Amino acid sequence: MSLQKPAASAAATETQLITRAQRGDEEAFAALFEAHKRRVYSLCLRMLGNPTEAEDLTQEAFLQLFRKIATFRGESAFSTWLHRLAVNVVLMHLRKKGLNQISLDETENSQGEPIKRDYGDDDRRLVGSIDRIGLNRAISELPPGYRTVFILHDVEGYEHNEIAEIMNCSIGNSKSQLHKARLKLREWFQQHQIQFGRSSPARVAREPKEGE
Amino acid sequence: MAEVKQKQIENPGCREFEANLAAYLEGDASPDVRTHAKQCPSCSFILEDLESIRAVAKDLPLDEAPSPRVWSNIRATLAAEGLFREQKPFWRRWIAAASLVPRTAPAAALAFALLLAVIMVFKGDIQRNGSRQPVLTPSAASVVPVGLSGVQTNLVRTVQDMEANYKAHESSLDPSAKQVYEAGLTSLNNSIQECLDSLQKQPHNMLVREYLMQAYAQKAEILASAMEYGSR
Repeated sequence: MSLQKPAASAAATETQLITRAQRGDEEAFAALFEAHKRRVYSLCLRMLGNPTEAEDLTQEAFLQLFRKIATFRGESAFSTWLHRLAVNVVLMHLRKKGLNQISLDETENSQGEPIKRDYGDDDRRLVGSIDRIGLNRAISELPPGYRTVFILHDVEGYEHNEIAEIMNCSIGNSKSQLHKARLKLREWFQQHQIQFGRSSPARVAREPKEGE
Repeated sequence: MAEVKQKQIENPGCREFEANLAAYLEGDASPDVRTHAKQCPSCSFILEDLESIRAVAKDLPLDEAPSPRVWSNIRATLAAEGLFREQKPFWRRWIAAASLVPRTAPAAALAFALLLAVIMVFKGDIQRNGSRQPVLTPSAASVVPVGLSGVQTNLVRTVQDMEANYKAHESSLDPSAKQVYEAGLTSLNNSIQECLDSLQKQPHNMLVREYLMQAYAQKAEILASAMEYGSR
C-alpha cells in the first residue's frame, strides 16, 4: 500500500508536467527531459554503440516529442510514447546508414556466419560468468539486426507482436532473430572465456542432483 | 572423443531439444526440453546459459546519462521554434536551471563576469559597514567545500560575505520582495546542500562541482539584485 502512494504521486506529477509543457512552460520541458533522459540515452547507446550518435538521437527523440506534446492525450503512458518514438528515431537512423535491421527471409541467415553449436570439448557452462558488464559489451558487438531485437525484447521488455510492428516483420521472424541473438551472445561469452582464460575446465562435471 | 561428438549430434533428443528450445524460452509449454536437459549435460549448459543471458539482460542498469550539451541544444532549438510560450520570471528560470541542468559555458562565463562586477559594489558596502558583524545563518551555504580551486574558494567566500551583508539589510526590504528573494535563496541553498552531499560521496565528480559553482554564482546574482533593490 505504501508503495503505491509515491508511484501515484509521481504519475500525478508527470501529468501536471505534461499539462504545463503543453502550455509551453520551459521548466516543465526541462523536468520531463530530466526524468526520462537516462532511459532514452541508454536505449540509443545500446542500439548504436556510439556515444556521440546516441546523444544526437536522444536530442532528436526529445525534440520530436516536445514538438508533438500538444497532441498527447494520455491514451498510452507518456514513457511508452517517448520510448517508442526513440526506438523509431534510432531505427530510421540505422536505415539511413544502410544497416540491415532484420532478415525478412527466415530461411536465410543474413546476419553473418551461421551460429554453430559446439559439441564436446568446446562446450562450456557459462552461468556465473555472464555478468552485466560482459553482456553490455557482447550486445555492442552483435550484428545490428540481432542487437535491435535482443535489446527491444530482453532489455526493454517489448513483446514480439510489438517488435514485429516496429520492425515491420513477422512475429515468427522476431522470435527467430531473438533466439539467434541469444546464441550469438553465448558464443561471445564462450570466445572471451577462452581468450582470457577465465573459464572453468572445458567441461564442467555435472553432479547429478538429488532426485534426478 | 570424435565418437562422443557424433553420438550427441545424432542423438534425436538433442535435435528435438534444439528444435524446441527457442519456443520453450519464449514460454511455450514444451516439457521435453527441460526433461532432456536434465539428462544431457551439453544441452543443459545451453539452456542454463540462455536463461542466464535473458535474466541479466532484464537487469541491465540505466547508468548512462547524456552530456549537458543535449539539453542545451534541445532548449535552444525549442526556444528558437517558439515552443516556450510561458516563461517564468527571470530569477525563477535561473533557479530552475540551477536545480535541473548546468547551463552552457558562455552563460556560466557571463554569470561569473556579472559576479565580479557586483563583488566590487559589495566590497565597498562591506567596508562602509565595517562595524557591522556578518550575520551568517547556519546553512549549507556557509560551508566552504574542500578541494575547490583558489578562484572557486574566493567565489564561495564572497557569496558568504554578500549573504551576511544581505542579512544585515534585509529588514529594509519590502516584505513581498523579500519573500521572493528568500524563496530564491532557499531554493539555491537546497541545491548547494545537494551538491555538497554529493561531493562528500563523490569528491572528484566534476559535474557536481560545476553545479555547485553555478548555484553559488546564481546566489550571488540574487543577493546583488536584492541589495540593488534595497538601495533604491
